[in-house]
Amino acid sequence: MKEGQRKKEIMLYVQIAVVFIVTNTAIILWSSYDWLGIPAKHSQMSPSYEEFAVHIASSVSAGQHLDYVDSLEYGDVVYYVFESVFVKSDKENLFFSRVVGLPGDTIGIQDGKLIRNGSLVDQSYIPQPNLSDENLPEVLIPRDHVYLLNDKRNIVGKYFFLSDSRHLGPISMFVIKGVLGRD
Amino acid sequence: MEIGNHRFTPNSIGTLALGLIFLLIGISQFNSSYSEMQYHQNISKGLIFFHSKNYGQAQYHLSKALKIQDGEVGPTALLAKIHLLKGQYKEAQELYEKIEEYAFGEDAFAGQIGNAVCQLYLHENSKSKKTNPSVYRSLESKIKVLSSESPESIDFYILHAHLYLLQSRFFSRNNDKDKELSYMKLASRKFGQAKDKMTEYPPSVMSSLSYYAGVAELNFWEASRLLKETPSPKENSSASTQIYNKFLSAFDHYRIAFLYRDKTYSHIVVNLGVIGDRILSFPWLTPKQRKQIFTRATSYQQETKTFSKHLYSEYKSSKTAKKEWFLEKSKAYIENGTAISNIYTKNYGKCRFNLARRFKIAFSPSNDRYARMLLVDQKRKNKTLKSNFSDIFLSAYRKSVRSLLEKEKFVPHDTVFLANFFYISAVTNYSRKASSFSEKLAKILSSLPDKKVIIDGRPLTYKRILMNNLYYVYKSNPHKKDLAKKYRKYAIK
Repeated sequence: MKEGQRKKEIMLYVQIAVVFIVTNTAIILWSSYDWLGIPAKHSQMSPSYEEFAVHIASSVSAGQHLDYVDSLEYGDVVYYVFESVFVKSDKENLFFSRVVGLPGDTIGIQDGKLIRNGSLVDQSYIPQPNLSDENLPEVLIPRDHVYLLNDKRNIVGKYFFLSDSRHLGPISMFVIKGVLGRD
Repeated sequence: MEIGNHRFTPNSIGTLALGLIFLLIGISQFNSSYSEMQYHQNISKGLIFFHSKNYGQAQYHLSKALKIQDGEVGPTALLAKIHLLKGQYKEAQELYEKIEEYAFGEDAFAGQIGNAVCQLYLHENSKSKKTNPSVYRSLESKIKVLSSESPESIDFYILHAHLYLLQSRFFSRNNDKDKELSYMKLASRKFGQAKDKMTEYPPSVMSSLSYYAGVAELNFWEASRLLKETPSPKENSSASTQIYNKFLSAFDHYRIAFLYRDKTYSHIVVNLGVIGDRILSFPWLTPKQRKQIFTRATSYQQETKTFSKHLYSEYKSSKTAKKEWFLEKSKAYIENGTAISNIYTKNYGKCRFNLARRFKIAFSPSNDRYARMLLVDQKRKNKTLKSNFSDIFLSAYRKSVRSLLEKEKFVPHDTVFLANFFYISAVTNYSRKASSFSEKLAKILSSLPDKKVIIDGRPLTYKRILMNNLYYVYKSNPHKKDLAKKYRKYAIK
């Protein structure tokens, strides 16, 4: 009898410990992610992120918080805020874009082709019609800044969120909130 | 003690007092935590706005935070930086002095540097004619200390180079050419040192922008100096190549500086237009050079067009944005230069001066010699020039010709100037107005100096070109048929 009671007691402790661990893990995981709504009309990362937004009606996506700015890599799709005095809507101020240049790099665009540190960068992930035919001289990416380019580059204007480093300049890492994905 | 039905005993009074004390502690605790929360909120908003380049909003939130809790080095330094960027040097200086007072070590030294920079700009803005080398020396010694402490930080190299640039400008204002040149050389060397290390140790965003703007200024200064030495270089000569390359480098560097998209440096946009106009207006460019600058100007125009679209999405009113960024003004300069370049390349149909006229773009000194390169009869047929030229060129020329005809002594350039005026009058069918000068011109014709030139392999003279142009002016004026007959022999076939 005593043995049985003890076993029961141990089981109870184990159950409590498991619940505690699971809850804690869930809380840690939850707090390390941002649950973002990417409106379907935000087509600047099309086609990589278009389908995701369209399939889920409320278009919810999880992006990992950016704890260390040094951890950013080429190809990372990041989300950031760029506050404008004129644009008050939070959705308009939330940007999604791809890292193409890191501090110390030089980034230029020649007939729509990306030039990094003097060499042509493979952009086969972008469909040809999404590219623009613009020319920008090579610019140095400063300390604590990154160069971000949208996947759909031939649309500018109308909405503030369609802009990227071509219009906003190199983006400070302090406004980058997290990484949405990497490819 | 009794109040109404309540009876207070020493115990109940003590409990009440204790409760009251706890309540007050709670309220003050809540108050301080609320202030702290507001402080942190304002700081984080200020930071976001600062890194979004909205310095006005950043200033508002940081000032609010510092009102709640003063004495923090970080926000004070950031606020001082914003004042510095906005050209509010006195306000920035006050904040840097505060930092110097209550900070220690590196922070205090940063305050000293900031203070010295403010002093320098205040000195620059006072336009004082008197030399005050102590201002430069004070900052220079501080930069040297910092450079030796952290040799990998190239921000100090860039700051040092700018200090030399400012010193050079100071000596230029005081007409001390030797010192102006020597400080420019020092600036060039410092910028060179910065360039070597830039990719390895990237500078801050402000330093990067300052680097490109500084190098552009340096190149522009050098190009202007060379142009003063050789005002009309020959096509394809080493002087013309050197001048062209320097101007082009200034244009390219300003263009890169513009890519940092910082509104506080809006002069970059205007400078881009001015330099573009200057290069495009040179009559002595080789076809290859003209094509090169044409391509650059077109791609810059394309860039500003896309950038304007972006501004429209941000500002919601394109007019405000364009005004704040001076994009239209810059465009007007480029349009002016492109139109003049089109005259040289004989693409008269592409000459557009509408924007240039609206912004009253000044007449470039390099344009007045262009007509001698062209022959009148080929262009007379092209009537599109009439509307483009009418205001901008003819009014400027007419005024100058009127005063020129009153002169007693003439230089060869005056002959060219008159030739140009009659050329433009002929191609734009303004012969009647031009013919009104004929009497006065006849009187001074013999005293006009002449010079030999070779155009398209043909030996000609300034005067011969003038006579040729006059012939066409008289020819198209029905009241001057006699004069046309007289001048027919000067027509260049």
